[in-house]
Amino acid sequence: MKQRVAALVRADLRSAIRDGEQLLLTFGIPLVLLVFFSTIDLLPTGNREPVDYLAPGILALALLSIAFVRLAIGLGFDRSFGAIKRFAVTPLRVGEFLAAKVAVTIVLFAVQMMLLAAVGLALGWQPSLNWLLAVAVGLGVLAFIGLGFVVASLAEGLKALAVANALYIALLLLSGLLFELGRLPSWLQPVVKLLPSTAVAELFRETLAGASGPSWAWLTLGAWAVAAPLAALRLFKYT
Amino acid sequence: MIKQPSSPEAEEPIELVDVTLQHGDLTAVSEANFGVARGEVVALVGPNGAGKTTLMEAIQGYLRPSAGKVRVFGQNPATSRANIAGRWGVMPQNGGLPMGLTVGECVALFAELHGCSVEPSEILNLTGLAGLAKRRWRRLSGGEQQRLSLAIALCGGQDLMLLDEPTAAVDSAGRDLVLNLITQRAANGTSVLLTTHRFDDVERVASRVVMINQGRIVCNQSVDSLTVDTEHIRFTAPAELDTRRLAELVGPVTEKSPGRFEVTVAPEPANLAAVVSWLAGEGVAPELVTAGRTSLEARFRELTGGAG
Repeated sequence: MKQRVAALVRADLRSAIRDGEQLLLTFGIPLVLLVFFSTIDLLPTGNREPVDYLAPGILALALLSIAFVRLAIGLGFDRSFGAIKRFAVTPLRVGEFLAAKVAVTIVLFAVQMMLLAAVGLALGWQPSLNWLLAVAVGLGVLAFIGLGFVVASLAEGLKALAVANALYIALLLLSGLLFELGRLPSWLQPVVKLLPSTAVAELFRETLAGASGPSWAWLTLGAWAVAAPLAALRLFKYT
Repeated sequence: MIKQPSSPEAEEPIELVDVTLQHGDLTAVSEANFGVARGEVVALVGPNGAGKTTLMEAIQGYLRPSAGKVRVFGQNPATSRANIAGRWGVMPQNGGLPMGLTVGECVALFAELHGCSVEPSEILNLTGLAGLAKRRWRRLSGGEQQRLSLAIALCGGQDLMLLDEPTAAVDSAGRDLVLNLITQRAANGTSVLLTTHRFDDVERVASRVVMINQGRIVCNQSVDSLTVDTEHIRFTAPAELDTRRLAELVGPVTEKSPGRFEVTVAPEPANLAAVVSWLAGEGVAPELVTAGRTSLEARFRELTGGAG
């Protein structure tokens, strides 16, 4: 089992490194946003330094890009090209396939986190780590990967690409990743607090400021981290 | 070398009993019955849309029959595919691969997933892909992709191969390679079920043929029994040749299609000599005279009323 998962992880990482366009989108956009909005104070990020508000939000955006968008689009195309079907006739079980995808996502996010942290620190970011950050990352990975599998199960090829990108833009605008939630209309604020990306951004921001984060965010993210993988397991078919 | 099949178990590699398969309201296959025995090469042939790929999908466990049962090594592939997958190698129609990987990496990946005991380099050599090992699979031609697909199937278990149109889009040298590999595998005891539109491929590698038309199996016989013809001599000649004298000398003559004639007579040497002698007398040098055998394609057309 370990050998099969490791083989798929290696293959997936090779594919990821060689896919220049996807790399640019997944790794490049968060970096550009962090540098641009940290050096040019355009966004309503409150009284603090822009980079202190933006860096955790951009980390949440990076997790959304890697664990949700990249996965949904990749799986959607793999399905339409018949690559998933090819795995289905090997001894690789669905659980092993999922485990490999989780492992690849964690590796890619770790690399992205180091890149963003290095750039953020260079821009003057002064984080104060709380160990609960690791829990928030773990729950965020589960929630977004689950959602990625759900999208790729319901749509394939270009449809998966369109749905994933549409959701990415919507979550980018509504989740307090780049500006404070208080800037949204008051009727919308309780609704967006139910989004996994809002919860991830809030928890990243709090745990990177040394705090433990609000309970509503833990509840929201915990619920998504359970519900999305369960939905993925129910919906995802090896075809 | 490719090793011997790993399991000598007695279960039939493939067994279909009264299988009906539906796509929504459409009945794609009705009451199909056939099996594949150990070491046997069976060809599933039929026109486009006849139900070949649907049957292959049911055997791989993607489709559950609405009636009847499908068993692979005694197990239901729809519920036990992961258990069976260690024993088969599958070449799907239009199967893709992970983006960005080279040919060598694809073969190495699937060899690991299957726990294949054969070195990937040997499989690349066998399939003529060693020189393309470092090329991205997406940059291969259609025929090369087919050979890669076969290479991946060869990484699989050695008890059964499921090959969906293995020679489609392959050039003549590649086709020889593919068919020779199938023959070698079968000689080592691997059971093979393949689909194809090419009757000459069937005659080269298959011992039995299952013909399907409009979702129904119209024939399940050995290739030899289907191609034996004890009632006709056939020849080619210019269309609308006057054969009345030949009919008087040998037996009734029918022009089955322009330029293709059939004499209803036992294919014995004396009758054959009479036909050839008459043709020579008419100044006709036939391109083809056959006696005692008919082509599989001709038999298929008879059985399906000209489909395909």
